[in-house]
Amino acid sequence: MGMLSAFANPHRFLALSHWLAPLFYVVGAALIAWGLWQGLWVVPKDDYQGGDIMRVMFIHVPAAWLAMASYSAMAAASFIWFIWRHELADIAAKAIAPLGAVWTVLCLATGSIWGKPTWGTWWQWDDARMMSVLFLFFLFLGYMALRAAMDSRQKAARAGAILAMVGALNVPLIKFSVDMFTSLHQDASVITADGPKMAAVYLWPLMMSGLGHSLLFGALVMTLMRAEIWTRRAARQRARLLAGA
Amino acid sequence: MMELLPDLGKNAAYIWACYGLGAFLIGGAVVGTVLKARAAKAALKRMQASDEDAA
Repeated sequence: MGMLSAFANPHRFLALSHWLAPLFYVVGAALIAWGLWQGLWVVPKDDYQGGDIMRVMFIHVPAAWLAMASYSAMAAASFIWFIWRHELADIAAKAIAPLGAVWTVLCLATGSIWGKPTWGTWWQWDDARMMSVLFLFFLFLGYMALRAAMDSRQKAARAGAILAMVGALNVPLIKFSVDMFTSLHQDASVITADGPKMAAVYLWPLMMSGLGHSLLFGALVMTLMRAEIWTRRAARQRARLLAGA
Repeated sequence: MMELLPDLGKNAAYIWACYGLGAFLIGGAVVGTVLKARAAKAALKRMQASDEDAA
């Protein structure tokens, strides 16, 4: 807990993120570019996975990972705020929400585009995987709307944290939806109990692309957290000025 | 120029649509985030300057 408190200091966070965020931007962008190059130009098409259309995997799968990981991170940060009231945890949860929504939209849209030539349909309303990811998107939107509707920062943090923690139940549902329910979506092929079922020629670019998306996402979260810290400081300064006037 | 692009077969339009959408959404997130951070920092600097003037 002491270590957590040390990292939860906004001054330390600003000093750390000052050099860590640019590093994450550069390395993340480089890895995404490498994954893109591998996915579009280098790896052979897989006729068992529908031919060239499987190249969508190098953007769709990292987007899906980030959608679930970002919601989990938002719920974890909300939990930390709820229990220990660390302001930085609330700032982190607030910063993750819009970015998580972006990656979830990317997952939904690329999945839908991939689905048309593969399954013959853009969308299936009774498909558990598709609907649970759509629900995840609504959870991100609901979290942002709920916070915006509150008249104080404390109420916004509390209401947002409760929604984020309750909504976290949806994350394992997404992961296991293809096992528990009938779905057009294929079974897990990377994160499985028996290890990856994918050939190394596809797995490495996919993993590197996933790491690149994660680093870029981390850099964006740090940037939004810095912005929120500055905004809160400006608000406190404004309040001090008004009180002194 | 066209020969630099990979031959993605009959589903090329779907594949390019996915990567184009990815570039648009992620690029938009980066631009929006950086602009928001710049605006927040500028607002704090303005406020600090007003504070110093008041002092």
